[in-house]
Amino acid sequence: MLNKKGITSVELLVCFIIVSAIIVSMYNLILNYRNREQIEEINNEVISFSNNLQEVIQNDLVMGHLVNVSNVSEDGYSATFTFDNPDNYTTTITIKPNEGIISYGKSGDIIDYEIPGIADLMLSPDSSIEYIPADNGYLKITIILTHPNFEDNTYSFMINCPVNYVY
Amino acid sequence: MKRKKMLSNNGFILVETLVVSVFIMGIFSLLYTNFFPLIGEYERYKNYDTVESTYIAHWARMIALKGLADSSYTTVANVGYLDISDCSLYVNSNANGSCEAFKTVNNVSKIYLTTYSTTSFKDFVKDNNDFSRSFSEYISYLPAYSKNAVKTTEAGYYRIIVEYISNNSYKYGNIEAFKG
Repeated sequence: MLNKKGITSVELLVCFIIVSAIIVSMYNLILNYRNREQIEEINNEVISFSNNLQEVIQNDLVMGHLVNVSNVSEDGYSATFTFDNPDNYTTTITIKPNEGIISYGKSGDIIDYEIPGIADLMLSPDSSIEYIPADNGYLKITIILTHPNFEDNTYSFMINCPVNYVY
Repeated sequence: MKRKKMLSNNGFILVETLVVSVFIMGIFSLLYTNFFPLIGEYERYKNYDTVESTYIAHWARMIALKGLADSSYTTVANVGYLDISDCSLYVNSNANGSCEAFKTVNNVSKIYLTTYSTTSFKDFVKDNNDFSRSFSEYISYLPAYSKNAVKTTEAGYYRIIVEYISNNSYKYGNIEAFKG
């Protein structure tokens, strides 16, 4: 008669303990990966933003052939670039750390590139535009974003280009 | 037959539970051990061939094409690679100054000129312990680019590999170079 029984209380208890042990041991693991997933989501958005901005500016710097950097502000937040390919044209860049915006484009066609709308993500006031008087001159744009999830709390990227580079 | 039938009526016994548990744990541990290294690889790949590093490689290419002597390209054609990090190699068109400025502004620590196919360079780095682990890992990660029969050294195709420091970590980029 006993052999015809299904799950006994003891078997059920043992099974329950084993399953509980597995779940508990995996809980921290899953929680850890969930945190990492959230961090990677933020990273992906920031990387997309930085790739887009780099493409837009570098496209002008490389294809337009940068011949002059002028009006670099004392705080290093704005500058004017002059290009000569195919014809002369100028663009301006302005970093607005308080608004989380980098504005760039030709006069009358300036586009605001707003940093992704992620909580605690900030455009660092340490971001800067520099004209380095090396060789013919070098343009160095450093954009720094800050967020508690980043390594050292910062993510930065450079947009560098020699000025009036002779091919 | 009667005894066998009686055993078949058994429910879920402790040994069966343990066997299933061990089996499931085995599957989980197998998944974990295979999955964990992938995350490490992903962390490394984040620093490889980004938009930033590709543009830095682009400027390294421009300076190399303008400044390197023809003998440097002959060396690459014969050996398969050449360390062009030293700006004194850029003897043409006053490119020495361009090289110095480029290295300083971009924190560039290594520039290599290789054949379009990286096979020789990969073998060299693999057998050489003088390279940093991160550089060796990047070169190991790079494709050999050996399937393209058109882009050969004879046709003027080369490859530029750069290593630079950004965000306190080494980053890497590569780009093909055509010396017409």
